[in-house]
Amino acid sequence: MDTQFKKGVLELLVLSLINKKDYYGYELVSEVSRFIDINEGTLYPLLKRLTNEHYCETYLVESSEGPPRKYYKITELGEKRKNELIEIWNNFNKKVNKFILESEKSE
Amino acid sequence: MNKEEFLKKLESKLKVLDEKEIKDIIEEYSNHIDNAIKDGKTEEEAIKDFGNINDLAKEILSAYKIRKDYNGVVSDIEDGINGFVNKGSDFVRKTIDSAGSEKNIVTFIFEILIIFVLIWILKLPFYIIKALGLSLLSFFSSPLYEISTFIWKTIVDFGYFISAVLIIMVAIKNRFGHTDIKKESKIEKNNDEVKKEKKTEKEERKSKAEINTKEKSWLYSAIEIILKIFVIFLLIPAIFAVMGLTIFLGILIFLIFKGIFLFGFIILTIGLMIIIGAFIDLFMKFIKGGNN
Repeated sequence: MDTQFKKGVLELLVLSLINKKDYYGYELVSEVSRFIDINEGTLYPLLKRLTNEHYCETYLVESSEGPPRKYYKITELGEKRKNELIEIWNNFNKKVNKFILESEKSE
Repeated sequence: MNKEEFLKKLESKLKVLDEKEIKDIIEEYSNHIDNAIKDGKTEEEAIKDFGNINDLAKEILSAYKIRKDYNGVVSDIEDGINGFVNKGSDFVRKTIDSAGSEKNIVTFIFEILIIFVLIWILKLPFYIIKALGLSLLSFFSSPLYEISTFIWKTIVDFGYFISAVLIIMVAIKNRFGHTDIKKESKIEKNNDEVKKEKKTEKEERKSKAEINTKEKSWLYSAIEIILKIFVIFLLIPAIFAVMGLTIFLGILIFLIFKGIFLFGFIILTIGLMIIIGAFIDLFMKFIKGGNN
């Protein structure tokens, strides 16, 4: 239902999360799912895109319980992008709310 | 689908990527499935979470900003021809809108017409190439002249034949899309000209493309090479033609200052320059597109 909205903010959510600490793929999916129900299929491609665009970088950590895990870490460029997205989101949010408020009034 | 099947399928849809990248991606999905299983999900559930595998592959590839089909040159031709055929048939369809189910027949007739026109037009460049080659070869004396001209003519005729066959193949592919039933669909072709209103038609084209690209990719690369050489040959006379026309235009402008205003010639010259310029542009794109 809110798939369109979700797709738009996913980048923002992911960057905000890895800004706090480094995550590996599965962890990231679980974290985001706590707030918003997402399709794993959308997340990994997004992470790929963010890495290709240098908003985050990856490194491997050997794991005792299986194959090495790939961790995602935010870059400086990524931080800037995150801040940019938060600003855009807040502005957008304000405008949309204002609009709704006004259109509800005139009824 | 189990984990192995899923990963194998996914890998096959990402073939256009770098090997290292593919390995990376597959590993990550494999790890995710393993983690999900550890959390208590079954293999099927974990895989279902990824959604439709074709959409998934499309999303992954979109992160790389690449062309989603990897038959380079040939798909350029396809797209160009498809676009042209569709625009033409759309136009015809609109004008005969009252005749409901006859649309397909009209499209069909139009396609056949296009094939003939294209093959006929195609003759010209090959003729030019042939003449060029022959005049160069005239430096030799017989019997070397006889032998070399024969070989040259055969090569050029063969090239022409292959190109004609290619055009027909593409047209048939396009034709087939109208009658086939829905099959497994491939990664979507990124071309707005080819977009139609009905989704099934889009998927049909995808499905044929899948079949054809898998089985004929070797044939296509051979054809690609021939076509690229042929186009490079074409570029040379085209560039000289533009140069000559520019000089001619310069003379015409000079004459204006002298008081002689040859309006007709000026229009003609400019027109020719634009047309040839457009062709050169097309050829350049063609060659560049073939270097994927």
